Amino acid sequence: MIRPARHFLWLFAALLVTTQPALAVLPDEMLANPVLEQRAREISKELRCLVCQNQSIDDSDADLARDLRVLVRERLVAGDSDQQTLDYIVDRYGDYVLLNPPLKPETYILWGSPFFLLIFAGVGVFAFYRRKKNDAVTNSPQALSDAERRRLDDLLRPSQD
Amino acid sequence: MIAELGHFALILLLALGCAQAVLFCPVRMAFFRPIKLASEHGEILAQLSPEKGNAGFEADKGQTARLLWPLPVMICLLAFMAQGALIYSFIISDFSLPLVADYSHSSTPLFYRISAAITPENCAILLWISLTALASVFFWVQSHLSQRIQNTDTTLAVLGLIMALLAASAIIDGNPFLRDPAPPLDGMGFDPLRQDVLTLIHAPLLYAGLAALSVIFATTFAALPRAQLDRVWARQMGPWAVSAWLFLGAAILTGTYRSYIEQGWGQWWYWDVVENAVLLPWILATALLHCLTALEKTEALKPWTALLALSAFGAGWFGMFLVRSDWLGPLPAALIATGEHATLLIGFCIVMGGAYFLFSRTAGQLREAADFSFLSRESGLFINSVLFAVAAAIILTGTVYPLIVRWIGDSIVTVGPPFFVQALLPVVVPILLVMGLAPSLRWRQDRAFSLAGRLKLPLIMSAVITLFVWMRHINASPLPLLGIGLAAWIVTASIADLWERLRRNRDQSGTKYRNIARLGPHYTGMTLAHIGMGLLVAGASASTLWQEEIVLSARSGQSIEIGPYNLQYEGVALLPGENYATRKATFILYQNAQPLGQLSPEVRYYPVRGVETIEADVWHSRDGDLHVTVGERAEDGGRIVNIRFFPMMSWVWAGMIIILIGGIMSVFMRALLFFKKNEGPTQ
Repeated sequence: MIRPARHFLWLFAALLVTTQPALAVLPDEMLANPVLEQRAREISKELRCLVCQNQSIDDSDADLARDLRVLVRERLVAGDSDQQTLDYIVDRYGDYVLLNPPLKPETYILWGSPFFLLIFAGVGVFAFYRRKKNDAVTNSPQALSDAERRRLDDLLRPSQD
Repeated sequence: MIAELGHFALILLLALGCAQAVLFCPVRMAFFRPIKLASEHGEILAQLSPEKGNAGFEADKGQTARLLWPLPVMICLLAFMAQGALIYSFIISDFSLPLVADYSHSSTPLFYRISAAITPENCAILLWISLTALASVFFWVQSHLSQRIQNTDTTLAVLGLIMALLAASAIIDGNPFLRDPAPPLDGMGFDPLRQDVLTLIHAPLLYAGLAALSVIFATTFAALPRAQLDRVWARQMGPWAVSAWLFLGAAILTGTYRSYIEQGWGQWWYWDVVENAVLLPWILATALLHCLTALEKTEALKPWTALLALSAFGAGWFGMFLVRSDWLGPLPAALIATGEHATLLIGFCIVMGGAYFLFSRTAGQLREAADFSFLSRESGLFINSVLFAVAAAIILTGTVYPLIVRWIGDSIVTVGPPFFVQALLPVVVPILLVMGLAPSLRWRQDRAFSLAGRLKLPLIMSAVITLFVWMRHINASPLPLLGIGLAAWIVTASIADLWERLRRNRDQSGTKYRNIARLGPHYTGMTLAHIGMGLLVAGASASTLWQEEIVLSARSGQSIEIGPYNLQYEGVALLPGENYATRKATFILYQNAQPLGQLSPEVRYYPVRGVETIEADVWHSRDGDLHVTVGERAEDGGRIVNIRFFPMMSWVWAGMIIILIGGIMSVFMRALLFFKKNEGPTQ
């Protein structure tokens, strides 16, 4: 077994040579124009980091995400609109890069699911109350018949003796 | 040698789990007795008639459990033996076990070796089995202490089946105790992202939640054949339902806080599979908890409560399967082809298929004892729980959709956070609206006019608060504003209802003072949880609305202003850690020229896996969270620093903690109520 303390020499050496970018957005990528930079940030939030799970490129420290961020800014500086920039990237990487899945035949069921589920639940709740109401009508106590009423009166009448 | 002992314990556990499933099952008697009688009378069909109890089940009075109680205890001991053997193998770094070689390293500190033995998904199944076995022993104790529990035998039989299936999955899908004939010299190392106390706490909380859900599932399953979902059942389920909800909630809190600290950008919810796998059973447990309240009070909503009780466990199991199998990861097709984790999926299909089949056969016999009108507390609880179930269904759809599309079509899609936010909005808004409303509703029947009178004040107050915020931030996007309005509605309505009840209680009891203890922890727990939820929604909305961010390249001595604070960057030191090296930055925090404290975010380098991790440092205060991370050296020679100020973020954490405190109060109360001898009405 190697004791941890032995590691530190080469550990430090390793630390000094690593050059992975650690934070998501770095100052050297940022654009000088704050309006353009803000637009770039908004677009970045819509795009998926291809090698992560459900992280946007704005949130990711992967190299690929950094490349995409730089690409977004290049397109914006070149004068593209937000939509053109998104289209440019979707053309190259496919719909897979969009965190917000676009409406197309493959996603009809996905986007339809909230409406379908809500309607389904609504119908279920409606049917529940409907049935409950019917049950209440059929199960509600019947009025006393004349014979029952006479018998009840007899029972309630104070006894003579 | 110890590992072999663990292996033996695991196999024995599988056998004993099967034995428990068979021996405790009352169907056995229903099967055997007719055959014996039939040989005497030659009337097979007559003996299977429903007079023997519905669907051939006999009355279950727990005789087997009284006789064979060592069986569940034995299974529990074996499960902990297997778990202990795995932990021991991790502690001594026995790299001939593939799991140890994959998740540990000789340089991993002792504490994290234990963590590595239970937190990675592939190791955690033993923890899951152990806690389920422990829960079944607790259930046995509960039924032993209280004479009122029904169907003890059947419940233990179902739990035995669940444990046997999990053990089978552990043995077949990836046996942790099979030795590698050519062990590596050293391991691959523990995942640095998990190297934290919070991760170690997270795993037992999550599996304790699932274990409590499995008891709920088994109890419901056992009660279904003879439709015994009555008040006694609801009261017996109470402590289990609250503790499942509590454990899962605490697991969500620890997981969330961990990703808040570990990711460099202060986001805390990504809607990824791991998070959704915990969120789904939690949502269903929340719905179940609300329905149980109605059932306990008025014996209403029986079939719906049973369906939720079954589904909550199903969601937990399916979620664990998705996380473990990694089917939503990069290479699902290959995994499906090799049938990896197939046993876990088959087990899920057996258990849930059986449960839903039984439910479909017996749901018609569950009679609603109570009648309630559309405007009543029961309705509030019912409609909210339906909305919870819809939310869970939407999340499930969004989570598995990429997989389905890949299966049936060639294309791949991403379902990211924007989808979940948009799709859940039409469900969450009504949930929050009803949440403020429902506690003020009367049981059975209420009048719209008097309800409006009671809720007039909270309605006006929340409208005023929303208007005030909107005036101050006229350009704010509508979503956070809506969130703040709803949060104000929940908090004010909860407080108004609390005040009203205190007043009524004081008038009834004839005392002079308002006494919160008289309302009972049951009600207090609920109110606390609702107020906590309101704070959480408010904090989450406000922190997105007013978030401030600064990214810059800082030099030592530089002063940075953000929010109400002033941060002075001191510098970075290169320091050795236990099994990593760290670049630790120092910031001194000032407010109004007064030093408040020191913040030291780090970048850690773990040489074994060659991974860098970001450890943010956060200053929590009433105003909000100051979230500071550092990165590389910038090209101009400074240090890249990322500072975010999330106003009111502390409300999110405080809200979550208050929700959990509400749950803890309620679980103690329910446990007390259950063991109390007299069956008085509950508050």
